[in-house]
Amino acid sequence: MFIDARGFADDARLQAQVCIVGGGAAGIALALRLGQRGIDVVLLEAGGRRHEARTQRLYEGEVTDARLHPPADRYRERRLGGSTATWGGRCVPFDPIDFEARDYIPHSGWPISYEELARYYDEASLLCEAGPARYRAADAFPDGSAPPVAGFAAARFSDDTLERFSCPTDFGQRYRLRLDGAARTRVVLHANVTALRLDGDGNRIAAVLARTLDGRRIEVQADFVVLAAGGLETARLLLASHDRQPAGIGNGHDLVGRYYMCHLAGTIGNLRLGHGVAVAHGYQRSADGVYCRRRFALREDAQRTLRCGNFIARLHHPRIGDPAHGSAVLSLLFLARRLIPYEYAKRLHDGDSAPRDWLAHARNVARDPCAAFAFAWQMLTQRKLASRKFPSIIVTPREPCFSLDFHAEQVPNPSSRVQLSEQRDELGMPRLRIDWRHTQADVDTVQRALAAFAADVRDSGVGRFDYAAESIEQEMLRYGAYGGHHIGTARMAATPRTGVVDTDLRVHGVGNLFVASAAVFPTSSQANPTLTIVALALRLGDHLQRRLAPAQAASPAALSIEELAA
Amino acid sequence: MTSRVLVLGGAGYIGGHVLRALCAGGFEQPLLGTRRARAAPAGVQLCRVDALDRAALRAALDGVDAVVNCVAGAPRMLQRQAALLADAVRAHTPQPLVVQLSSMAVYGDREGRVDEGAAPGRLSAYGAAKREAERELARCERSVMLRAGCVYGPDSEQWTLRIARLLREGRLGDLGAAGDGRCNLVHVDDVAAAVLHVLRRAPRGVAFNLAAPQAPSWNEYLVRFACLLDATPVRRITPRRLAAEAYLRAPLLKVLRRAGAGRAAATTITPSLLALFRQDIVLDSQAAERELRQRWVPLDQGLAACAAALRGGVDKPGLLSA
Repeated sequence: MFIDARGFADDARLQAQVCIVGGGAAGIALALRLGQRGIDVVLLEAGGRRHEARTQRLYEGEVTDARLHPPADRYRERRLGGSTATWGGRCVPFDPIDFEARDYIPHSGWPISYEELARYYDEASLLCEAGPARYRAADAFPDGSAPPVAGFAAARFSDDTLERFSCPTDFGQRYRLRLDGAARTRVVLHANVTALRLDGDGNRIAAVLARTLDGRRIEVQADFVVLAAGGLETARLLLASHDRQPAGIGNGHDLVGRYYMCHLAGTIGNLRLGHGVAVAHGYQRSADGVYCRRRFALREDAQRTLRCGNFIARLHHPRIGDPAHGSAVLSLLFLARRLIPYEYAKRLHDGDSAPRDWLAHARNVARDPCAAFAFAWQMLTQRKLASRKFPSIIVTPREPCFSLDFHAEQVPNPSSRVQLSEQRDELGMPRLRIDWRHTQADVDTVQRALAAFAADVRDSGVGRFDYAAESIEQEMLRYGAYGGHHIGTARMAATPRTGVVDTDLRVHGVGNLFVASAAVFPTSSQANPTLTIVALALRLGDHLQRRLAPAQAASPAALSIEELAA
Repeated sequence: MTSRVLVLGGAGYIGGHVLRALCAGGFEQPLLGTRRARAAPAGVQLCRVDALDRAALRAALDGVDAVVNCVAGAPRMLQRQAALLADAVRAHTPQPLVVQLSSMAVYGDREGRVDEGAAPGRLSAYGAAKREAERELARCERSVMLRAGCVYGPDSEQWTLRIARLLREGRLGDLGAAGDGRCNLVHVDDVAAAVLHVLRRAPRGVAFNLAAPQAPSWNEYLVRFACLLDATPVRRITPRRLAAEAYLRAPLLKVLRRAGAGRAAATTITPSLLALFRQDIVLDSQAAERELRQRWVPLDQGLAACAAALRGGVDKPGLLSA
């Protein structure tokens, strides 16, 4: 059932077995799972069904260095579906090495095993609509699939792993009917959680307090409370709930908001392949219709030898803004960049665009209008009008030259952090101040991995990879922290001294408070976080069900709207 | 086995399978009740009877121990036929046992887990007729309703051949939110087996749901079936397109067909089919497992066999439909 909190009388009180804060990928995955098992759930969602500017402004915050991190209200959506309303859909599992304590990466190691998470990947992947969790080329394409570069001798890099693409599925739209139909699930829209109230002993959440923008107050009491509000908002809520514990809930050891990681990504170098070397840098569709792409992944033994973080790379087209690429398609994109949403157009806005460049881009388009038209047509039919969208722009260059698009792990760093700022939002909540930082170790990861890639290319004799080693740091920071990946602010660890949540995702020291978010990831991997967020949420669902199982039958049924409004 | 069984609608899809199962199960010379003149298969006796003709029905039941009613047709006809059959049965002493092929449509738009005692939701015209038919036949001394889910099998026009055509034409596939309903499939062999169980055991219950357990969602079924058919890569069908199918194409073809212009075999995706794809209903078939000792053809195995038959070119729509 869906309820709009703006329809409540003032001071509405709700009770539930589980109260979920946030209706994004994690919150919806969890609500669906608990709902299927007949557990009584209240999900508090701050937004409505669509983007609303006034609600979205509650996400605004300060950024210490605006060149290094996007504004706090970008790359996330305060609405039903959360940031899945804007994500690109790339699904990638974590690797076994990500769970190891690596002596060359401080604060690394997960307190749970890879296997414990991996068994949820199948369901998570299906929920993301990326097909079953077949993330190796041989599993997804039993009849074979073309490698990115034929003849690439994969000594340090493997070209066998896949990224699989979600539609991209907006969880809010996709699962609205199922949430609505679940007998004991109430999704309350426009309920902005402003505080968590601890009981007298300080070891249990007595109530979740929420407000609407028009001043109504909602109080939810639940056996269990799950923060599923994303890596930034989760930290904000814990820190801002400081009436009983001055440092904020779960922050006895000053860990909440620290170890803030995004990913380091960029496009660099020039991969020149020999003539006749077959390239497959685009997408292949698996039988069930999912767009899949093979990429280069730094092997685990190579990571250990190089003492660097996890790293993957894809073949990429040349930089769009520079008309020297001569590609009609890329120039068309450049000229049309104002029509492209901010989150995806960032790379189109780099550098100066002198009128001279504009002319050069226009000339590129004029020189090959057929290619430009074919591309526009593909974007219209396979992306704009399609439910399962062609994931990104694939351009086959005239010459066998590519740049390398990389995505690298960022190491955990306590001084990269988010804190509460002095400013407050419309509801009186302190805003966030984001101080994202990278370290030399992050640069080293990219540097060592690129050198290894160049060596692999050279050794296999398929061509050569040249890049300016001295410009690596500049390139990986060109667009700052990778947008939308908010990791580590409530990290998981076995002890309260080293982490905010335990292996069950329960906040250390608070009996009934859990976190389902990338906030709990102790390390960031090479992988985009959504798939793992969903897998952890499903795992948490199983845990909560086990805890609730004996009491389940005795709980009251969901209240009717009339009762709520009374 | 000495009992004489009449299968009304015996020339139809389910009726044909029931007759075959009867022969294989040792029921001697079962009667194939049909209005159309046709030769009966070996071991089966032809019984020409118009199921809407009171006198003919009554005569057909002479010396019959059990009647299996597999007659298909338009809702109003179904209801009338059931009433006539009930009258005919009651005119005999002792009354023959009646086994009625009913449908999950008698639960209407109910969602969730549904057992035989569940009250119906809002009924479709078909569902209302099937429910009325059950009520008519309940007037008989001994009657058992088999409420089947979607009956599939290698030559099922409705739930195998039609779906396969739509998948191959790219008109069905992964339906997204429009395909989250549960697909309560039951293999036609399981339906035939259930009829035999009823005839042999004379169970205590009066109605039994028939659907294989662990019903997948329609999306899962459609994607799985499409992969087995090599109708790949499976398409994601937009809500826009489904709406156009159900609210433009289907009504248009219906009008054309009425006017005699359309091909009768044109396959459409109707609004009621779309409603079914969305309906989150799970038929609880535990009573059948308990009382009838019903076992199920595993879905994977059933689908694979259907796909193998289709890939072998056995796709002849309408060949066996009534």
